[in-house]
Amino acid sequence: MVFSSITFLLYFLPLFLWVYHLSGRRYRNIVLLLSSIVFYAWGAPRFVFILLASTILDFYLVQWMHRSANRRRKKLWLALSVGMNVGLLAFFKYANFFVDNVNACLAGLGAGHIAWVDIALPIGISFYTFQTLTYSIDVYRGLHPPLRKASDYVLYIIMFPQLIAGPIVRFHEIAGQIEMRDDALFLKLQGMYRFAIGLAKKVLIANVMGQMADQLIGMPPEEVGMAAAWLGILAYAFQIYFDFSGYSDMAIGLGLVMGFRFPENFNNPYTARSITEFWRRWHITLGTWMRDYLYIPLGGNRVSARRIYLNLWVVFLLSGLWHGAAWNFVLWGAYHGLFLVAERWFLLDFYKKIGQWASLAATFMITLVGWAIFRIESLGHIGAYIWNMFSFKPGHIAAFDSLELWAVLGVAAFFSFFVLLPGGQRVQERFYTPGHTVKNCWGMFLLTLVLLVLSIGSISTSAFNPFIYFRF
Amino acid sequence: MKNSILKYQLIFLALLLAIPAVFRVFHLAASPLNGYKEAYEKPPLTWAGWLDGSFQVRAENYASQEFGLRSQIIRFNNEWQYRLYRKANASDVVVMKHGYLNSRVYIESFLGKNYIGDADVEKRASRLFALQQRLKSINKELIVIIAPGKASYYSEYIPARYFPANSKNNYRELRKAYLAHGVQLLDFNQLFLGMKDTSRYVLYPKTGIHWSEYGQALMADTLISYVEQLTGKDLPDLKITHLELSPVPKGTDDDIEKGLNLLCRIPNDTLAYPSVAFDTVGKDRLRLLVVGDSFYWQMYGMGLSREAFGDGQFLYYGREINPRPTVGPVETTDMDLAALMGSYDGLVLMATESNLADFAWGFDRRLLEALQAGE
Repeated sequence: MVFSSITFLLYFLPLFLWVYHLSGRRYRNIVLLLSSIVFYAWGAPRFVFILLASTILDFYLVQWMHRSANRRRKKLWLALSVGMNVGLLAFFKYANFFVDNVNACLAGLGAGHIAWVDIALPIGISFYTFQTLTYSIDVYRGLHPPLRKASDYVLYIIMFPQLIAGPIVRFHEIAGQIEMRDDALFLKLQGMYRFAIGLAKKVLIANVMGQMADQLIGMPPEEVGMAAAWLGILAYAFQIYFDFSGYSDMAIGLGLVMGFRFPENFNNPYTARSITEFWRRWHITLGTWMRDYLYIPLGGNRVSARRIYLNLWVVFLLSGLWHGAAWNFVLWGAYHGLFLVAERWFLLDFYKKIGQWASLAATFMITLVGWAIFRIESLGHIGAYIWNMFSFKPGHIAAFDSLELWAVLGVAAFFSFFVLLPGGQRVQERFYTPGHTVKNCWGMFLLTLVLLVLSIGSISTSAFNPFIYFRF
Repeated sequence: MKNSILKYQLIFLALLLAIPAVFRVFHLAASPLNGYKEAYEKPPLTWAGWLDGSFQVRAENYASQEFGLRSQIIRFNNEWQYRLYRKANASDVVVMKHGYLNSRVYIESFLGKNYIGDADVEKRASRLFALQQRLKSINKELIVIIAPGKASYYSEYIPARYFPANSKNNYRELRKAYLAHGVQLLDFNQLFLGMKDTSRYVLYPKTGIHWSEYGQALMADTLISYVEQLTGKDLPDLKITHLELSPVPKGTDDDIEKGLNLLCRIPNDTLAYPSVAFDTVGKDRLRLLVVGDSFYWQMYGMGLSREAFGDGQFLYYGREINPRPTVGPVETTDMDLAALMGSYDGLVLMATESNLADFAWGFDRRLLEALQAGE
């Protein structure tokens, strides 16, 4: 069940909101837990049993780890917890990829092949794994004591607003809120408002950009001119941004309705002036997760320059692989890692020299080329597409005379770069988090109303409604 | 800010989301949408269906099509998207320049995207000529009619994204081949184009896919005259007894617009609606069988087959028999076409430009084979 579906918006969500709020406070976590199980089971009816069993087992592993006085034994429990969760991810997400590649190698050597039945990827497993890891590691590091009830832990992991596509909520960020959270009405209105903004971003912008990107990127490479190649990848850049950030907005909004404060996941990533900055603005919760649970344990900035470069690259290779079990994702991670290393080495100094606008343009172009690697699965097509982007090959884009596509492209571009305008940052903050005044409440209420009606109307009419980040 | 106002705002939003489900449960304000609707059955909840996910898929399909106020929500959405973007949320509908509605199939056919090829053109024209000769040998006539196509008629409004056009299209090439072989052709497409700048009233409506009621009345009269010339018979005359002008389209004159499911009407040209009558007193009787596409429905509806063509039948796409027989087969699939043709004085084959790729839907081949077999 995706947020932008009729089933969720007109059946699940209203039923959940009414039951949740009509229940006494002490029953609300139970309502949320049961609703989350139904929500997840709807999309993964078999895997939900594995998810519940492994989560409960993990809860006890961490309990035993926490109680253990022996440091070696503590490490053993941690290793078991981490091993189980990473093992689930490895099996369900990467086993097909691994076997396919081994079979390709064996075929190349003229040997036989490994018999294998493809495993279906359970939705949200990457986010599930990262959240379970933060729990065991945060407790191990003493950042927070473990939860007292297994049901609270299952709730933290399976909570429906964020399980499927994030943001990745680290245990210590939310631990206190599971037992006690703010129930202010203003927060709930803000939550509905944020949800409606996210839904509109997904339905009214990302879906339209997706149609444009699919048409242009899906064309045979020999028919794509330079303009069409750039237009296609630009449309995809806006699609993935408004799709993913829209989903994060919806998750954050739903969290607020229930009194949870999930971390922000995006901060105008296309206004970054370097790839290093881009990763502080794009999928922020993944970036900080990678930093705290991978980069720092590898040595962080305390090692030699060469080792830092290597660590950065490894982290981004793994980040690429986390996005999907395919070589284009690995290549995409390596590509970003390469620029991060180059920026540490010399590129940031160069950016300073060329000025902020030129560095912004350069970063955006690097990002767009990266999206071509990310979007196109076939390695051969990636090369051909990027070649077209710099080929000066003529070609017409008359096929895109749809007023809607161009209008939405303009809207997407405006909102992507809006904060660069004088006072843009301030306006954005006031827009996203308005103060508690009568005028603001009516403004939020009316905008929520309009965006919900427009989005539901669009969903009702359109059959094109995929969520990109469900794959990851 | 008083908490009570906030509370009411939140309750309103939660109610807003719940209203469609409530309306669905009590079947309130349910109004149908125009056009094809795939009907989803309410799925039974079974353990096996739940585990393999098929229940969820079917339930989502069902829910997305069966919620309350669906038609109102869709009409509202279609309305603003049409007004703002000139976007048509209906399968294959194209909003051309100046808001003229058309079908993608018609446009692509005009631009030659479904051109059948020179060899096929030649083969089909030869076959039709052979059929015409075979019918003539038993004192029956064959008349081939190409009904006008909206893409040809309003070619200047076709959006740029559909170009470039192919050098050949079915209409031009088949027309040339028919004429070269001597097939008795009545080209309404050409006639329409010739009358485009001089016609007093609209021949092709802005928001419909078929010719206007006025245009098809003129062509019905032309057809009668053509048959009279060909056969030397004096057939019933078609007379326009009254002409009503209306800024609001009627009948099929806005058939595409209806499929768009908008809230408000699209501004249209003033259209003429003729009342017709057939003067049958002292006229000859000639029985014609008509095989055609939807363009003949209007002529059939005005009584052309009944009054002027000796109560002849209309075979829709060569298959469905009209008027629908109360006894016997309702389709021509297993019929003896030679025997059927025996009770007629002639055959009219009619298709619009976009249907020429399949013309005459195998009926010509089947009839020719049946006639040759009976020799």
